[in-house]
Amino acid sequence: MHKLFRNLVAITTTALLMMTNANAESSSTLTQMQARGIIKVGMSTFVPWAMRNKQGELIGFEIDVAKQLAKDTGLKVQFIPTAWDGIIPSLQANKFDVIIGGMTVTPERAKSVLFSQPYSHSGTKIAVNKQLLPDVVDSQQLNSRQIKLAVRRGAVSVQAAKTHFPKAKLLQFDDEAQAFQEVLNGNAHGVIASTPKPEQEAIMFADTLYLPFDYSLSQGDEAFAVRLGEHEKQAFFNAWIEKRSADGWLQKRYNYWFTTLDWQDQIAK
Amino acid sequence: MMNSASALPRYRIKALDIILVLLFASLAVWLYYRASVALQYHWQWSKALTLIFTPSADGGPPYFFQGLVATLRLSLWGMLFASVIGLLLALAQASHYLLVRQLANAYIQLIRNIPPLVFVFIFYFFIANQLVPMLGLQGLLREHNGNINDLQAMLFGPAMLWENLLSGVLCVGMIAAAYIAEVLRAGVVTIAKGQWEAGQTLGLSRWSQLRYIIAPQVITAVTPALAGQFISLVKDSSIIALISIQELTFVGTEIANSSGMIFEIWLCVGICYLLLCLLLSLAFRYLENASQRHLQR
Repeated sequence: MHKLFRNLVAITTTALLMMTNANAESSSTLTQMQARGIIKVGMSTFVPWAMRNKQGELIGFEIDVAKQLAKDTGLKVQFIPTAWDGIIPSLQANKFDVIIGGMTVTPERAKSVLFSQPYSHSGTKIAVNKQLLPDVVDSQQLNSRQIKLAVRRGAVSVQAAKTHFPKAKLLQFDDEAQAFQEVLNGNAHGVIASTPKPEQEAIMFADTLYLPFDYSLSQGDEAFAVRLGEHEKQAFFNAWIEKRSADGWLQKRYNYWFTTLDWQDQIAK
Repeated sequence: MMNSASALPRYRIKALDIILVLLFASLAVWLYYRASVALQYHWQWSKALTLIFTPSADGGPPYFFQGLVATLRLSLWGMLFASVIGLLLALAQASHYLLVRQLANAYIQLIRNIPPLVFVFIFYFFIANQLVPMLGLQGLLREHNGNINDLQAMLFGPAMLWENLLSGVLCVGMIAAAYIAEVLRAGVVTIAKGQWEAGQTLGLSRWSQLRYIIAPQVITAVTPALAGQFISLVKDSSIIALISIQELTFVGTEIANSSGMIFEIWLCVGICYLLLCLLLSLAFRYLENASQRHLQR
């Protein structure tokens, strides 16, 4: 009992200390953002999270989320399109306030950024070339040295590929479009990507691509990312996410972008 | 110039020319055939072209052309910046002070011997980020409210991208400056010592020697090499798409990924760079001829 009490005291003191520290470090960045009246959002093109419509304007799930966030908090929003490879360094270099970019929470990333609560949940699926592998029924068929899998570099799909198909050779691309093209060309056997891209591509190229498994290879949580130590800003975003998860708004927007194709005529297809 | 051109033999089509043309044509057909067989690609040129030419929602230029204009802006400011820094570096290399000479030399060797992409990454994330607050540009660039006049908009583009543009100009400019400095130095070195001495004998001041005797010869000597340098600056500007400078390549990536028409969009991007660089080549050809006028008198 005595020991438990001592531990409790120790934990509380550390927590308090950490909170005051965090306040000292980051109160300026949140107030700075609010004083500016503009929230700068770092994002990267990633269908259907964020993409350009025919007029060159940004649309997508992230864009809806960021716009609503700005509206609810009385700020203006400014999007900073950023190459995916450089999105975390850019955040650390103060190029924007927050990453709202379909970023999946991973332990590695959590070492360099501070994640908010998840605001969306997505999975990764594999699409396979019909000519090269006509009848895949078991995932072990793909776990072989002869198999080449295309993925987007730095994405969760890389992780999914490494856990499920450790023997397969990975071809990493900067963009998903290139990864899918590689499979359509028959240079890779399959491509792993976040839903709903594999489903959509499999419908569009029904004679070359198919989805061998119904289940997701990995389940991911997407969250906002701020710089390490910015706990006050994290709390600010968490409050919004909680509110909008509770009233079902986030789920509604998610369903629109991920389970329907109603938005397809806004882009070129 | 005209004399030397007319001295060349007149064109007459020979058997070898016909064979070569046929060979090239069959190579092109074969390549096209291979590409269409190996590439499972659904070409949608009409859709891609309408997409590229769709004006933005507020009636402004299409997004693709905003990228093209950004590349133009970036290249022009980059060339200006590179020329100034390049000239300063070349002068520093000719300095009487060892330290100044060595510093300029160190900079040139550093830039020339690391890949531009590596330089861009290091520069952007470590140096440019310190540079902006240091120069007191934070208020001007990062926290700008976005109200600007037409002249500013024409020269520098939208205010929200100023910091972006500045980083881009610094990156391409600093890379090109090192090469330009070397070109200029080489140009001065080609001038025989006798030219200076002749000027001195005529009683010209050092400035007059430079202005009327040395400079015209240096300009003639360096124009072709400078042309190559400026063209490569325009092409190098595509590298900085990786640090998210919103220029043609970056815009191309975004459009290609959003629409899924990767090859159509990238071919259009390629054609734009080709046209830009061809125009630049023509401009420099003209300058080259103009700079050689003193040789024709």
